[in-house]
Amino acid sequence: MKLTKENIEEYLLLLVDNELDAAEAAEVNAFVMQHEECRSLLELYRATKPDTGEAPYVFPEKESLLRQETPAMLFGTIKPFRMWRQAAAVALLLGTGLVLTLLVARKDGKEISSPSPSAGAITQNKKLQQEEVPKPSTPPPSTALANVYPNRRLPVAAKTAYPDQAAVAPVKRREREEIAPLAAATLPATIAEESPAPIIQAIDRESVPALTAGRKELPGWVPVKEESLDGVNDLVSQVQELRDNLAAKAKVLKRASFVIRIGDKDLIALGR
Amino acid sequence: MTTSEYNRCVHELSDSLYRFAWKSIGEAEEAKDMVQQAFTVLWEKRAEVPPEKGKSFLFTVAYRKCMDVHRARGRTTGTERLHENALTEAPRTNELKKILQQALATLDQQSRNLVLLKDYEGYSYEEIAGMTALNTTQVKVYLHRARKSLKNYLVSKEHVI
Repeated sequence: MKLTKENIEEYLLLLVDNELDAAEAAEVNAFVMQHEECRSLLELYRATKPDTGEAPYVFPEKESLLRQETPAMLFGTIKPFRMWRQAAAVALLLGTGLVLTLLVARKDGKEISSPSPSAGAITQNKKLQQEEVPKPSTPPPSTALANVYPNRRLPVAAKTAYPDQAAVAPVKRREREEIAPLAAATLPATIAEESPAPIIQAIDRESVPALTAGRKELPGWVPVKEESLDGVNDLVSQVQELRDNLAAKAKVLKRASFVIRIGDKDLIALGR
Repeated sequence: MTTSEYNRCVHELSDSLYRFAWKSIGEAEEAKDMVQQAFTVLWEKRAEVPPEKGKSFLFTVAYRKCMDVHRARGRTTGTERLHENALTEAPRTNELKKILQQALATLDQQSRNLVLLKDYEGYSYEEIAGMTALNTTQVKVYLHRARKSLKNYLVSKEHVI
């Protein structure tokens, strides 16, 4: 920056306007100190600047410019009444859901545990028929079940319908041993005398009350409802009927026979 | 800019904006209207204006509205009416201030606004250029010309200091 008397006025204006950095300002001030006419010119330019110490201007309507500040809320700018409305809606939904849950639970409970005696018996009979008919070889209840699971609280009907496989295995084996002569020999006398006997012995009407009576002395015993006993009795009667049907079929089997004959010779003759 | 930041701008800037408008237009009532309009625009644009730009935004709006007022008046130079209002309504501290107010009133509207922004608000050439849509060189030239005019007014025969 080269200062001369020709360009000093521009730098004086820049100095008055505070547009020079510190080094440039110092250089200009040094030049001004060396030239009297420049000093007076600088004073004139400084006089054109207003005195900042003048009486302050006060805008009289400042309050009209201010805006209402919304208070900070927990959930943003949601108004209180809207929160109450939403809370009421949530409470209504929860209440409705609770009532529906209770109704559904109560309905299920009726079907399972608290039927009317007649309807419950019918329902259980149907279920048992559906389970028992396709499985005629299902072994009958025996006292072995009570010995294997003495603390189980299942209803007697359930234990009767679904006996444990470990307990049933000897019965099945014994049944197979008794029914085996049916396939080996078709003599009716053999089958009629031997095959129904084990089944009749296994299905004993008196065995169920004996089961329940023996368990009453156990620590976890829960009394069995009368309708459950009715169901068990119905099951026993159904099994007995099944036994009769089986015996009738066995009688038919003893008379069944077939012969494979070619010409006058009988190649295979069974049941004759 | 939030509502609280806007209100802070009102508290901090309304007085200086009022001074700028009053000295630029020369009428207190018009200056009040202009301040209210400037803050109304700021409120409407508050989402786009960061807090640190509030002051320059307000003075930019006020500068443009002052220029609009003078264009509507059909005047491009200082008038006797403006001169009289500036003398009667501006604060009077001493004789030099009165002469300076008279000198300011002789400037054209744009030069007067530039002087007000520079001397009262302390903006740099670059900042004034951003407010007035002029470039920095134009601001510098106009300001130097205005300063020389004020100096000549002060050293004239009637106002020798």
